[in-house]
Amino acid sequence: MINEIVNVFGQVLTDPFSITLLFFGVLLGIVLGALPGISSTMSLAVLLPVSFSMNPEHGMIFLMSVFSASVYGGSISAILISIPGTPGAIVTQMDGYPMAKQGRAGEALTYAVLASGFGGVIGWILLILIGPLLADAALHFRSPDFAAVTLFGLCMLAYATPDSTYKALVAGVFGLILATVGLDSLTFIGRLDFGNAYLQGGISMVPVAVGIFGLAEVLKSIEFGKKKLEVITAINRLFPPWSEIKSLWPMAIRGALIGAFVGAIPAAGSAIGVTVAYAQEKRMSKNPEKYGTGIPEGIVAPESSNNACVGGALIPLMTLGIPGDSMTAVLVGAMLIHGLRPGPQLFVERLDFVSLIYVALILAIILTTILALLTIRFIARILDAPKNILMTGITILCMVGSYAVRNSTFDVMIMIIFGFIGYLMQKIRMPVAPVVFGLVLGPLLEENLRRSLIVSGGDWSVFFERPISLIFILISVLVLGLPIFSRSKTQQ
Amino acid sequence: MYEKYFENKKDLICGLTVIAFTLIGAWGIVTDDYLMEEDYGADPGPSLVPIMLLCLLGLLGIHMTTKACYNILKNSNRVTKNPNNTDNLLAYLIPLTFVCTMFFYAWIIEIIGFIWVTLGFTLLWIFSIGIHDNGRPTKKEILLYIVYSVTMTLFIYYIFVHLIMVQLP
Repeated sequence: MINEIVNVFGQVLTDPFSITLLFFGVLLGIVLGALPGISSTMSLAVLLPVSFSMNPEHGMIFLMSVFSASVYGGSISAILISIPGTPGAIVTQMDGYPMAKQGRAGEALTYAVLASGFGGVIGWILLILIGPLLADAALHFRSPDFAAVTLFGLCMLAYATPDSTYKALVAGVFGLILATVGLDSLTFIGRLDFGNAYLQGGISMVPVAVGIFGLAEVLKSIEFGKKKLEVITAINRLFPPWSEIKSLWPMAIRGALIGAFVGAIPAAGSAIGVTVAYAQEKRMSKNPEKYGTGIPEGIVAPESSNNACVGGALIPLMTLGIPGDSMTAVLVGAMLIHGLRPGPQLFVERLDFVSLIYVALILAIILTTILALLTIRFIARILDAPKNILMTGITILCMVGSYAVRNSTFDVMIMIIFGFIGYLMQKIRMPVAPVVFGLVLGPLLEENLRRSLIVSGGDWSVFFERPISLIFILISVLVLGLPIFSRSKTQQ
Repeated sequence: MYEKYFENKKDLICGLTVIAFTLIGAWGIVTDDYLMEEDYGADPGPSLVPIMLLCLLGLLGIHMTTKACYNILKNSNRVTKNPNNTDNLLAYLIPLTFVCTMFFYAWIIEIIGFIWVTLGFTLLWIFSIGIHDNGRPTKKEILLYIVYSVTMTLFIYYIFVHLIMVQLP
């Protein structure tokens, strides 16, 4: 694997188009991630169609650079506006914004970018080390095991969703049903298409993702009565004293390790990782009361964790084909569109492609650190851009991107419908990510479920006879049952 | 207390929507004779997974609805008015109108063409949202909006048609 990675490094660094894609991808990712109302998932979803015409390698280089950079970008709006641009920046604002209000916005942003870069590298190293081992183990998986792992991923998503496991489950099942619309892949019999020729082709994941993550946010931000945001645009000194930066290494390392391991849990997401990292540092601190007042420690640990989650989330994606979070769910969609299914077989058949993803990630991390430091002042100005300009631009991108999938206005209609559904779901506090997860994982789950039953002659005990599938099924039942159990204990 | 009441009302609407979706899905399966012919006992056919999922969704919807009804009935005599006027239906007006114009955009784009329809849509909403947020625009803002709309439309057209090679109407 290392040899392959070195080879791919050389190929990418000597290809001007790849370098250009990295550069623009990182720049776009930082800007889009920084803009409030545009999350990294939305950035990926909206830019996903742009990668269609590229070959898979260039497409993935572009998307990986947007992915990695936008995760950092969320911390910029967290620090300057107190609105996290991405879920992983939720905790950064707790100390980042107070520090910015004290006139130390530049230092806060620098702490964030350095911690992000460091965390990203740690996450990448773990991905390199653990990925091949897990992929090797997963090569022994059979259909029942894959079905159980997919079910586990969906249950983990439901469990990890704040507010309501129950609602996340409903959304996930809804997504799974959407995945069954159209021609069945095994028998080519139409299902749930109501005789509609367009529905027979199935519901494409791209317009749904663009609608749910992109358009829904646009609709939310243009509601009647929404106030203009106040942005801190004055950025004075950028670099804090070196002695201060040096003293924060232990926090960065701890945050990165927490982030990488949490990110590796399917569907856990960076929000959990950063929260755990922040809480851990506060607990270990000699002055916990200072957290929340604008101290560097409150920025470094969560930011390091946030970007380490990127590498961590790629572990289940690349080795098992299970997205680690909503962003990697969109990446799965991108790979599927290019005819590549993530999973252990990819390590066997296309080790070069797997290596490319690893190389793209580390180059994106390095480039993000450099470009962010160079362009922070400029990006702070962009945050003040008028909402009407931003939102109309994003809407047009959503429309065109959805149209680009199959040159069909039907996909645009799907995007609009799901954009509105996503907006309403947010209104009733129903999580939207499980819908896309269900749509992405549904075919995998059904294919393996039915194949298992065909081989076993309709005997369902096949899922309980194999130890791997039994373990994953038991864990799935446990994570779904835990919220119910803990709630009834609280009521007692 | 009103917030909880409002949450329960939202859950009730959600539960009923889920049940309605389940019924539509069930109707789509049951009325499809070809699909229903498949025997999913020893040889799982294409109807197995949709039926399983629809049953699960139906149960979840019924549970959500009954729980919401129970909570609403339990608390209905405590609060009837919204003291803070937080459920402002006016907030939904702009997004709903926006979505309607998007449907119109999607319908008309293949008749008139991408550039003109996009330009019209962008100008309409840039001005509408701008007036809503900041009041009447200044001359400088009007010029900015027009230049931005034209530039963005042509830029996106160029990127998608000439660089990404996607045909736009």
